[in-house]
Amino acid sequence: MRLRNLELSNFRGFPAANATIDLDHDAVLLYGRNGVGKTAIFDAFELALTGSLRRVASVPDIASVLVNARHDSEPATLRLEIGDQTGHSETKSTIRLGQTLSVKPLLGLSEIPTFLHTAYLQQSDIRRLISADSATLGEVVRSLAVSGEIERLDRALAEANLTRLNPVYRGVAKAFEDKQATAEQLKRQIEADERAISDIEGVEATLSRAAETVHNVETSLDVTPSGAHANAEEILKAITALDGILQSRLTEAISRRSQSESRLKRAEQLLQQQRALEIEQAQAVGSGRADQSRREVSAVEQEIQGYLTEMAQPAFAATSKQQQSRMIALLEAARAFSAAGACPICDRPFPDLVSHIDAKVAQLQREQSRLQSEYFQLQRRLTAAEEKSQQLKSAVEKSERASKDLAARVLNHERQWHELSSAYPERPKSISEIAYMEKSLFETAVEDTAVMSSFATQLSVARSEISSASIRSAQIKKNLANSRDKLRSILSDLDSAKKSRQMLEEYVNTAQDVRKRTSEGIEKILQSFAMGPTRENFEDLFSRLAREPHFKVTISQARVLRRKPEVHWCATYGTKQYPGEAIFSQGELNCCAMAFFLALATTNPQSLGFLLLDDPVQNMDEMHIEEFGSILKFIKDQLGWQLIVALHDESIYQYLKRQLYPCQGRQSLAAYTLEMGDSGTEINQDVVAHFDRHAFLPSEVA
Amino acid sequence: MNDRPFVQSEVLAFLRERCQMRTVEFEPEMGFHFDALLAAPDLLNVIVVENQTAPTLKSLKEICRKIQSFAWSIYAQQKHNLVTLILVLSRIPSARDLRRALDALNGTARVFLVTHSMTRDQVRAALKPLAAPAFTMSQKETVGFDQIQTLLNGIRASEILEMTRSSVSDAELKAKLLGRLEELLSEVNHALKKS
Repeated sequence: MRLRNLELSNFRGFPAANATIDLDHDAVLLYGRNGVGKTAIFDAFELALTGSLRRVASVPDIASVLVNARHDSEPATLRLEIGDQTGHSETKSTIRLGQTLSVKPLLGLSEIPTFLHTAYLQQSDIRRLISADSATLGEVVRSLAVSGEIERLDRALAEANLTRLNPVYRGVAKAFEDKQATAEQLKRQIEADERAISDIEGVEATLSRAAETVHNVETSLDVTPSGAHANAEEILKAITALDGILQSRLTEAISRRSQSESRLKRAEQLLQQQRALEIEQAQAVGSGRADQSRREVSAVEQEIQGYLTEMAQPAFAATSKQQQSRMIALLEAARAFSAAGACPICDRPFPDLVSHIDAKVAQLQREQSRLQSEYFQLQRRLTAAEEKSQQLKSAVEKSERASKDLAARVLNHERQWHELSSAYPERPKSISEIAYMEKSLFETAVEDTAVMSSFATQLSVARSEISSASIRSAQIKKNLANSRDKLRSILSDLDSAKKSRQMLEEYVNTAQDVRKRTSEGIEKILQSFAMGPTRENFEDLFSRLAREPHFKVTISQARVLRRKPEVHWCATYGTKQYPGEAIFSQGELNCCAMAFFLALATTNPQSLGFLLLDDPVQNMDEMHIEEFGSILKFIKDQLGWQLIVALHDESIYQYLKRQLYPCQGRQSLAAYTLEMGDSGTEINQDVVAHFDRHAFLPSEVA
Repeated sequence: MNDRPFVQSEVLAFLRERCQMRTVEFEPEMGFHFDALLAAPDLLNVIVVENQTAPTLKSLKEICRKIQSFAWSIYAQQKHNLVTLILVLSRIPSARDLRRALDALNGTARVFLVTHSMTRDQVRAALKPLAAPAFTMSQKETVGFDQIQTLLNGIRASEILEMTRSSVSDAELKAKLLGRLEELLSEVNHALKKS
């Protein structure tokens, strides 16, 4: 492939008028000072060939840096024509401010990495290659050596994570294993259930115990034997029948017990009542209390009558009062006479009289007091007699009422006894006899109730045991059936899932194999590429560029580490190895960068057949430049590649003009100088030379 | 034999055999004589071989003067040849003398030094830049360009290969790979979830 023609208009620093560069030569040299637009020409090449610009990839509006700032209202245009022996093609693009950059690239997708890494050496690439670490070189080599499909597959496989560590895969695998575990568990469960059923069905003891219980109860209840033997259903049936009988017997016993209890209570009450009546009658008859009371009442009434009579005697009261009054009057008279000193009646001397009167008065007073005392005493007796009379009357009335009451109760008691005793076929002789009978009956009923309850309990236990065994057996059988159904379903699903999983496993295995193969393949390709011809060319080119006999450089290792390609290079001195970047000067590192770039370019079988070098000789002394020119000449002559080289140093430009001078048939050289004019970059043709044998000393004279 | 130092004739033999150079004679009237003069096969390069058994600053200066005269003569004849000097020395001159000589020839001729103390391998290595590089190009068959099918040979990866070929980007291929995985996973899942 050869670049033929480039037309630029309003592109970067170029004026609006078309600037054309005829590139259809074996070597094209561009000379210009810094900032005149050499790199802009290379930008145009890159843009036209790849459709994009690495250098300004981070700029959001690329058009703004590509359109000439002096005439930014006008669009920038570029046209590049390329061709080879089979034909030619061109791309033309118009770039406007504010519009998305859209350039149809002349190179195919697979050619772009080749162009970027082996055909176009821009200044930033030199810096990158100088400081290239193993990873950067590895990436470059990979992009050159490994086909797009392999690389795409490798990256996609790594990103897709088609391994057994994939979370989704793990989830499904776990579900599958869980399902298998469930099936195993079900199998175990079924086996356990089968064993359990066998155990339950084999236990005869429970049934025979229950049958014996039934038989005992039947015998005790005097019921016709059901003949149930060790058959759960028959035993349960017999138990149910016995339950009915027991229930009725129990009801009857309870009823009897209740009746006996009631009658017994009544008899006991009557007996108690009878005893009380008897005591009361005995007391009433024994003491004759009513008659006595009547007699006492008569005596007291008589006494009262006597008192009343006595007190009613007029003399008793009047005499006393009169006597008293008279005596007192007399005594008062006597006292009146006392002044005379003698008694008017007896003439006794007064002193005697007075004492006499006083004695009499005292006597009278004592008499009066006595009488009064007697009177009062009589009155008290009377009152007491009257009170006693009242009490006795009351007692008489009470006694009479008690007698009537007793009589009524006796009658009532007799009626009750009559009623109670009439209930028995053989009339009992006494209430005690009834009580005795009823007590006996009650105890019997209680005993019967207890026996029935005991039977009921035994039957209940038997039923419970049988039922429990039956229920458990039924339940296990049901569970067993369910488990078998479930297991069948799970096994069926597992079969289906196994088939799907087998496909899945195959896919994952294949993906892993492919990934392993691609990784290994990439490493192999890298090693084959980097450790083979590239290393040879690299060593050879470096030894030419830096003619130091003691130092060598080499590519020491190419590998893929954690999916990252790495290409290590180092300097060797004898058998010792050193990191190249650590011991080389900047010029030597520049030589390394050149050697590496040219080694990649010359060993890449997909080479594009041209080299674009933007100011390649930096930090290199004249000897290196001489050798670099020599190498370029070899590339031009031997490989027939087109060289387009931009330089900003005039002496180097002049030297390369001589070195790259056409020295073989049909070779040509064009050299242009770039200058900054009033309207922008101006391109001036310096030299256009074609091969001419006469331009050289004759070499035939040997 | 390899340890024996080169002599001039052997250097010339090396240049003829390994670099396809031919001995020529130019303009005897130039007034000076080179020990040997060779032309490279490309017409452009002319190689001068000078042998110095006892190099001194004076003798080195004399060689420089001859080279400069020769170069000027070429320029005067409007020829475009480039001059290369190979100095065959019995011993290494002092660094100062050598530097001065090289500086004098800067821009005029490429200079290669061969001393008798150098081994034959060292001489070959020193003169190697005069020979055209081999430019060994990698073979497509050996480095695996566009050989995905070969790479995956032996693996039943036709499905993945087809996916790769029908995808134009990593993202598309990844989506296809994952899509197939999810499809298979969902089949297993579906079978497992039936019960």
